[in-house]
Amino acid sequence: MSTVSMTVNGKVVASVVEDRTLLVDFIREHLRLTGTHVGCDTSQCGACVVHVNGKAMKSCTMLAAAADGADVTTIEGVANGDLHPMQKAFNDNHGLQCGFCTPGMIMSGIDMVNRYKAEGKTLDEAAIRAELEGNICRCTGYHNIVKSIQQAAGEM
Amino acid sequence: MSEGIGAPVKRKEDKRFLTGSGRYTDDIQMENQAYAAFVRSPHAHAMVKGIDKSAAEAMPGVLAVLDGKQLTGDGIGNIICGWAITSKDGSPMNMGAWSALATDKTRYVGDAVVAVIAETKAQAREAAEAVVVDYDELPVAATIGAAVAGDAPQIHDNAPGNVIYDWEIGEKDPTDAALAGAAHVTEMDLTNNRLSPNAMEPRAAITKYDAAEDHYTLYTTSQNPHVARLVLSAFYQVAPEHKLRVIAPDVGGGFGSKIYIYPEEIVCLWAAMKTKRSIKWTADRTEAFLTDAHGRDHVTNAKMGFDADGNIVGFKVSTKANFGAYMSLFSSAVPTYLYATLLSGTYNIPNIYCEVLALYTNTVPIDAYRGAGRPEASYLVERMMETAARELGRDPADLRRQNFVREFPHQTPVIMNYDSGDFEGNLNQAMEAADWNGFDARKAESAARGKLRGIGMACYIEACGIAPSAAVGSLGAGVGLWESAEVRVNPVGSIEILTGSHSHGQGHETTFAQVVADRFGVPLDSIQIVHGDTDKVQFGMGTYGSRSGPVGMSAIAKALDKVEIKVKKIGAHLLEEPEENIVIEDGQVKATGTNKALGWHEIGLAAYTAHNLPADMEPGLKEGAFYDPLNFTFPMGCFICEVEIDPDTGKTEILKFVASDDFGVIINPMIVEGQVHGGIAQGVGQALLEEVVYNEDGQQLSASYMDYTMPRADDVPNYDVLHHNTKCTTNPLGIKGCGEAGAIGSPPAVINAITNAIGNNDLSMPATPSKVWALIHSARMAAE
Amino acid sequence: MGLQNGYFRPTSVDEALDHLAANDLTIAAGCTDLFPATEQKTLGGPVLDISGITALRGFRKNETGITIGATTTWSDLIAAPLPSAFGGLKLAAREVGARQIQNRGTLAGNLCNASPAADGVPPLLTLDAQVVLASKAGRRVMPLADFLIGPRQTARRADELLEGVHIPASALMGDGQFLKLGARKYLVISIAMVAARLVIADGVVAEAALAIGACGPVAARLPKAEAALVGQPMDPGLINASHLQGYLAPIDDMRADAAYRTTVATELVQRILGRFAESRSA
Repeated sequence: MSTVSMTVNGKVVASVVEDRTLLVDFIREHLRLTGTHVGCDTSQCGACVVHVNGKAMKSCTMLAAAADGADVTTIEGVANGDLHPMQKAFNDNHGLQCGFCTPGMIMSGIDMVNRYKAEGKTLDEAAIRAELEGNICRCTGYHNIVKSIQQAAGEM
Repeated sequence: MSEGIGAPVKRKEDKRFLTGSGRYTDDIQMENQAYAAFVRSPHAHAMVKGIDKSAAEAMPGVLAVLDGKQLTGDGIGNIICGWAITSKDGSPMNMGAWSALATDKTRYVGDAVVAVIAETKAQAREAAEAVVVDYDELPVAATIGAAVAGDAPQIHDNAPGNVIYDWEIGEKDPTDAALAGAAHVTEMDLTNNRLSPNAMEPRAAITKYDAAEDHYTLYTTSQNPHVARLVLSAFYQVAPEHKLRVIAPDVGGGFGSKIYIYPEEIVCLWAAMKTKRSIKWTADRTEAFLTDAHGRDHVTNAKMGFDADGNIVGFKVSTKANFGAYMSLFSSAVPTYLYATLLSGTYNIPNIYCEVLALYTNTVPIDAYRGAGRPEASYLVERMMETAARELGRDPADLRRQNFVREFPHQTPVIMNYDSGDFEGNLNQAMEAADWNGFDARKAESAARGKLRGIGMACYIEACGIAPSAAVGSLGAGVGLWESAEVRVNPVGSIEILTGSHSHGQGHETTFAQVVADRFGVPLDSIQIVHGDTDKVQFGMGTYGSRSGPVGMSAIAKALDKVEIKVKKIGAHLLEEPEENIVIEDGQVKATGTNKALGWHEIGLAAYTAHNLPADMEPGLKEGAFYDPLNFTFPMGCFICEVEIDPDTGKTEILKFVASDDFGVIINPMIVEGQVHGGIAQGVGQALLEEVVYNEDGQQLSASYMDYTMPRADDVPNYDVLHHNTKCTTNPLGIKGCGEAGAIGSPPAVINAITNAIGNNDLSMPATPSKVWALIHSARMAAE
Repeated sequence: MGLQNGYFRPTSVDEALDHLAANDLTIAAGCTDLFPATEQKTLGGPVLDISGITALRGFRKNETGITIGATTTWSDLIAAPLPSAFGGLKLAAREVGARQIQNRGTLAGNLCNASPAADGVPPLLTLDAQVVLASKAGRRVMPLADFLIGPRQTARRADELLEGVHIPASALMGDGQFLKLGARKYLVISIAMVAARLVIADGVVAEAALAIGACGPVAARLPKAEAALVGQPMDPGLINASHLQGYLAPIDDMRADAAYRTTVATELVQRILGRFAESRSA
């Protein structure tokens, strides 16, 4: 067993977990934050993306113990008020259907916009499509997800 | 902006999904919850000689280790296919026994043999690994070819030659005669590749048993919870129908794969009763590949005859359809009434004959996947038309135009009666948007860069809104395919719509509310859509086959009619005006020609206080309706795809994709376009990337996202989605349905574009770089 | 079985080596390939998680060359100011999984998992990379080409930790490139990939390093092709299939057949050389 302590959505949480506990299971089962999803078992689909120390990571491929001391943000923690501009953009552009991949898409979208802004680069459609390689959606055909992220990039 | 029919209203349901507050089955945690894990056959075909559970039973946290003999011993019935198909010779289909836990024999890799129930997920999985099953391996038939081979193993004793049925439709002799007399016959052998639906939410189930009440609850990832309840009780005898509540909460995509009632749900319900514990099971992605029903997998030979003027005179089709190891719930209907009945396409074809050989193989069961039979028909018809045009030296658009159905209603030789459409209008709209006439210049520009450019079209038609119950009953369906709705106006005037349709991404909570807002002029925020719970909604047949619009919303419209009548009666009574002068507008009940009006809430209050109602009127304001469709609906359209291919690597890039659809009346264009986008992406996936691959031992080689090539954002283009709609004449709202069209029309459009680019018709899906490259090079080598 | 009592997250190399000497451990860093590669539903153990050893992350430069620490992530590599000889490795870094994987996945993990299709290997081969293996018994350095024995097999002993990758000063010259063909660009394992590092002086190739991946059990340098280039004016047409013969052992699989891979490999080599020709003329 390992004792892990981390900050999740601004709150310090500590728990004793089995060593093999994945970060995503810690978030879902221990913290009961069920917005972070599991859609595959090979780190491909991106439904589990969270931010660890400000960077997008797949929480299904990381042990909770390895996040000891880290600052973690999940979909439940991105909004400062009603909706984050990325969340609003997904609603404005019909960037979601069944909603299962959506939290991962939003976490990846926020990460890519922040990163491109920090580097002073333009996040155009081709760049968004390339950056979305780690997130699979089966419903939308990506068209409106790309539009959503484009809108949010202008508003964030 | 209006919130009624035709308005692109933003979705009401989005907020919970955007904030991580959605409630999917695996998000639910029950008190006293244990976990199930399944021991699955590692062999595609094997006798189960013995099961040693002792080591697993001794492991920490293990509550029960359950096998098929216990299951059948408790009277749990076999899994059934609900649509009876009769063979050419009049014999019934050969349905083999499918126990939720295999008793004597396993028939595909992933076939469940033992269920382990333990305190934690990890304990259940570890104990499952400790169960020792003694198998005696049998020869395997993993493909259609292997299943029909002379030395093929017998998968089910009651299906000689692995044949489930040998079915036909249409007139054979006149079709043969038409082909014999044709000036030209185009013949093709085409395969429709096997796909995995891959809803992003893996299947899951949570079951609860209340011993005091002898009552069962099942939370499940279902597209049709009422159908699940019916089948689980009436056929599988897991629980009596009145003692079983099925809830399908937020469901993360279905695409057909969540219609069916799978072994895991049966076993978890039964195990909850056995162990007196709530039980959760959630598939991982590998399990999803190994157990979710697959789609497609047809091998077809087809001949299409033309007269000297280019008119189609006959179409003869022979299809072998893979069913996998067992007959899934609707499997038998897919290659028959959902496929062969669409072989007339958008064309006048006087003679059609189709025969379908349905076969067992040692693979995952195959059933309806987005489009279900119609993509297979569309792919076949539209590749035949394209190839015929090339063989005849005709412009592919002109040959289609010449053969289009132009008068409605139109009776095809294969059951369907098309009610409406303007096929040429969609063709023209798509060609203009795609700048079809400018293609030659673009091709020359690509050629100058050493690239091959191609353009292709597909004019699909499909049948939605399943279906008139008496008609499908006469064709073998085991259920009626109506839908039900209840409209509940509350005393404060807010409205709840209880529907038997189920939303798992389609946006019903918004579009269904728009229908109500349109009718009464009440705000969208005052309307709530209730679905997915058999305790709340009286009955329903669920969502599949693009039926929620044409059937589900028609039921709502019918219930709204009844509410409207009662509201007008109450309004007339309270306003002391004749009923024929009462109108409902902007959320008010008004008397025309006067300034008298009542607020919507005043009507609600009056109905429930019942202090002053017309004589003989019952209190309350709640009406229900069952809607049974009069006909199928026929969405159709024209898709055009333009590609560029790198001849040195064979890699295809889609440069442009135009869709012009006829969906009848559209409730919310934003949501409809989203459905088209998603459908096209799945069709592009089928055409370029996706395929379930088995080796000859029946092992699935493509059982993860490392190997099954799901389309990602930069595999697909932006889509240019247009509408040229004609109203459906057979349902009250004029809706045709839009859920599957994208997946139906796009594969032939993509492949026709690629074959146009490379000048070779002999291409199969998925058109991987290596296949395309090989065709380019075989042509070059032949030329050299 | 699980890894109860079997998860170690040391903060120093010495501590890690003590654990390795005492136990049979699975070494984990970013874990991004560990779960997919092991095909386990839960992680087998016990595990030595080296992601907490800060000394193992980052770049160290001295007169002998540049050493990249074992837990340096692909994102670190993309962001680092490195000589243009690393151009190919940086391009490969962008193709490892997706961004979320690049943030977590490490260079050493990519090497130790020894997938025939590991993106990092061909560019590292063109950089004459050496691996540094540490154990209680001491350190040894070996060429990357010797370290990779076969698919999912390396020369690392169970008690050894891959501490870092050293690029000798002699290989820091020139420009690097990388090109990959997959069923898609990223994530799904590639059909074929090539890396090149060339030193071009006065239009003539002075030094050439070419490597190919996903076309055999392990990635390999292409000495015949390199020899054909050196001393000649830069021209992709100098290379044909014969220069690749003997260095490819592609397999037929679902993604592509062997004949296709062989032809495409030649095409990719010509294209990557074309990039040098273009950048020279530009």
